[in-house]
Amino acid sequence: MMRQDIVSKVKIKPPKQVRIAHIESELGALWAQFNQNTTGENTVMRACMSNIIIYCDDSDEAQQISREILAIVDVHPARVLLLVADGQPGKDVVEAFISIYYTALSDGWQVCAERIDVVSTVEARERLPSIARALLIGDLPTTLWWASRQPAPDAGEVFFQLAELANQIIYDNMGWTNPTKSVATMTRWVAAQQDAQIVYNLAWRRFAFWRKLISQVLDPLVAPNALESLRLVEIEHGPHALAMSWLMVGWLTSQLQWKAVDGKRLSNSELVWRFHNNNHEIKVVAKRLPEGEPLIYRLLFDWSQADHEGRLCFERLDRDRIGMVEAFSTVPARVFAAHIPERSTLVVAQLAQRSRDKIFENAMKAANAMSAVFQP
Amino acid sequence: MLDTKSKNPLTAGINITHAPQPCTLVIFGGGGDLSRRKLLPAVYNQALEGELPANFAVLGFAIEKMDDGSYREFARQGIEQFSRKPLDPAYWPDFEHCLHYLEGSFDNPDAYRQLKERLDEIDSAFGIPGNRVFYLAIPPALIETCVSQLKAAGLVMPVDGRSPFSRIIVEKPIGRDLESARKVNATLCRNFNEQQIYRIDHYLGKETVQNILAMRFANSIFEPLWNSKHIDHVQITVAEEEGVGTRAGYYDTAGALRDMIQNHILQLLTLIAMEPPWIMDADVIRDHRQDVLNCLRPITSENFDQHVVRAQYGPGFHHGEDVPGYRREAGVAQDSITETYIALKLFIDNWRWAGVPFYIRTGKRMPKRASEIAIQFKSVPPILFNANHDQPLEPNVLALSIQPNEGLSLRIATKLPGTKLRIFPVKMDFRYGSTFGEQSPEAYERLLLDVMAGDATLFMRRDAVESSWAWVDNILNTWASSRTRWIPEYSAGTWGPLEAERLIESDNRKWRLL
Repeated sequence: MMRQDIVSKVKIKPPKQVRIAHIESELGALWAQFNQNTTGENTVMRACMSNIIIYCDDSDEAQQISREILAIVDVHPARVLLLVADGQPGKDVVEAFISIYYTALSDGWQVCAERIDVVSTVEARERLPSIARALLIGDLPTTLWWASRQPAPDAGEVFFQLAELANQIIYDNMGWTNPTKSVATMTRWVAAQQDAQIVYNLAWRRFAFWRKLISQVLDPLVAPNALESLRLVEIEHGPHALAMSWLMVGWLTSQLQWKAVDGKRLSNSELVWRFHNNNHEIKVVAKRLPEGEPLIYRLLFDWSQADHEGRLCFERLDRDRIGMVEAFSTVPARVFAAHIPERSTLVVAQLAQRSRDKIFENAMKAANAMSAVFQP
Repeated sequence: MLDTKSKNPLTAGINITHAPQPCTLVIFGGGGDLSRRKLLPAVYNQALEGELPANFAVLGFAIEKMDDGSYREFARQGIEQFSRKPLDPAYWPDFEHCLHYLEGSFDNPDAYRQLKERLDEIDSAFGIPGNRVFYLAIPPALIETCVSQLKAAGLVMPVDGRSPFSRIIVEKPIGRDLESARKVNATLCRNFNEQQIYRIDHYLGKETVQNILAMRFANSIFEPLWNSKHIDHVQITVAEEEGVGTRAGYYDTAGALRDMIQNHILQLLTLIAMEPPWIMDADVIRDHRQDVLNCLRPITSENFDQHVVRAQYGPGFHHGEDVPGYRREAGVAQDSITETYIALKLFIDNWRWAGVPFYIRTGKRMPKRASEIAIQFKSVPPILFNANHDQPLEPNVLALSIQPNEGLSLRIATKLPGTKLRIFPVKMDFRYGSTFGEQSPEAYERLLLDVMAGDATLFMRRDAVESSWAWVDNILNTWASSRTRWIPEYSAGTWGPLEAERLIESDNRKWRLL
């Protein structure tokens, strides 16, 4: 869903089909024409912070991403290259379209994005990296947003070549069909990267609010002994959110230094792991709800012992709020504002991130260790 | 081995710059204007954005007759009117639970006993480990009473690394001269440790002001030029288009020097002129800012007229409408000689800034609201493009705009297209609002979170307050000793008096047109 204020603020020139070889000159012409069309006293400025290469599978995805680009460039002005791998182009196997996004200032206009769509047939997708390579603006950081549903390394050469162009790679494990295998694939690939490249999963940012909340309410100052005595974690998530839940457990295990003992599937919708923290065993159960959004809906922590009861249960109340369930919690119940972030918001936030996140990478490794002990 | 008894590994990497800790925000004067317009909206916005600690509550403490219910309504009205983000009716019922109110007189020890009890109740209801932030949104005259009573009631915890924290936020003005500032500081420091005291200047919470440090020290192109070898002069302007409004009672006893120069503008000056700090640490940065204040050349009775102009606005026009002169404003004495405008020329006597004048002006009823710091670089030599003595090239100017449009611009000379060699100044603009397209948090939002996180970087330390008063006192004393009942006047809606023009023009320079 798009924010209305952005829709009305950022304006778009209709896309123009151009020859691949003429993209840069046609963009220049678009600029010049835009300058001429504005009244003489007003200036046209350009703001540009990044190159953003977006790779997606097909036209449907490209359409959804088109709407998100609007929100992204409003906050993060950029040159955007949208590469559509199986976009069913018209006459040629690869076609290009250009457009500019601009906003009105009090005394002129500001171009906040140049957008280049390159649409290819599935057979021609190998050509896309070479086109992208020629269109990047120098002196600016480049981000590859891997918006395909396929885990990036599985795409082979297209991904590896595009990744070489980027300082940062953003992917999203939402909707992965085989989270166990995909987590392992991505973790191996991330671990092999040099320090210069940042790799980031939007799922990590998606549950950033949860991380903050959990870390605060289980803090030794407000819930003494909770972290060290944790015995049970129960997660209820919607469809397509298993990989995110997996990563969350990975984060807990890496930060609290739990060791994965084993894991198994109890049913089609329920997984269980056992961990050990040197003193005792911790059980983590992840249940998939039959319907809903790809979100974490309920989260229970239990650190009860024979002489002491300690429990905390969060529940997503609606799209804007997370509450503590009084009946299942031994700490004071409260409700927190927790809007479900749009994907474009997550991407924007990640574009501003310029360094590797070791906590995320440790969580990935722990998630991979969970895969290793898991009996499917 | 991992210690989870006293440490929390889950907080790692969550928020490096701000990690606000669980606490209760106690607002002294919680039923007042600052609370309604700024503090409660700031808290609400931060709650909506998930920036507040999970274990957090607000307790308004004031003389007004209210209970929790009416205080929540008071807050709601304030938020509806002044909040950056609109009030979300779906979230409001959950949020308002964290708002509480205690009616009490600030000088009554019983009120503080009740305050303590109420805070203990809130602690257990919200899982707060006894941490408190006391915000004194009260007239300066009440500071001593409040801090002494807090201490006597056992509400000030020691800074020993084991006890919960007690932090106090004090609004400006801290005193009205050096002597009174010292008295206020002595009172504060008798009852609180300096580490627990946060003297707030909301100017320092503004995005562009914070960006001064980033611009200077995150770019390598500016710092080599940032000295007397390359900079001709610096201009700082803080112009307000409003008159004295409802603040006449305070303003007529303070004036522009006390109201703007002593705090906001000298703080801006320190950020512009400070040496590079070696670490982003509150005390290191404040030490470096303090060094600038230590180097300010005193303005004495001997050089006074060449360095200071004060004036008062007379009748004039504001957006085409008639507006009265200052002395005709409600609440202002008819023979008042309080300055509503001041222009200063000052020098920083250190290696970097030797001989570079800093021209400062601030006033009410000026043509528009604008705050700007402009660094004017030296002219190129009078040869080549600058050989025409009748029309010298405009020098480069780097202007940092603080309000209303936050951003920075650079004026450069460029050749106009065509066969003739014509050089023309062009302004390259960078605007926060239009470039990033997202709202910056209000200064109070940022500063409140800083206090909860224990980060004092953007707050004034005792020595800074006293040094700036010591410098300002020289000017105040010279005025007092002159015993004049005359003050230059400027028409409302203009950029200040002729005397201010002469002050800068005598150096062959001009005020910038904003």
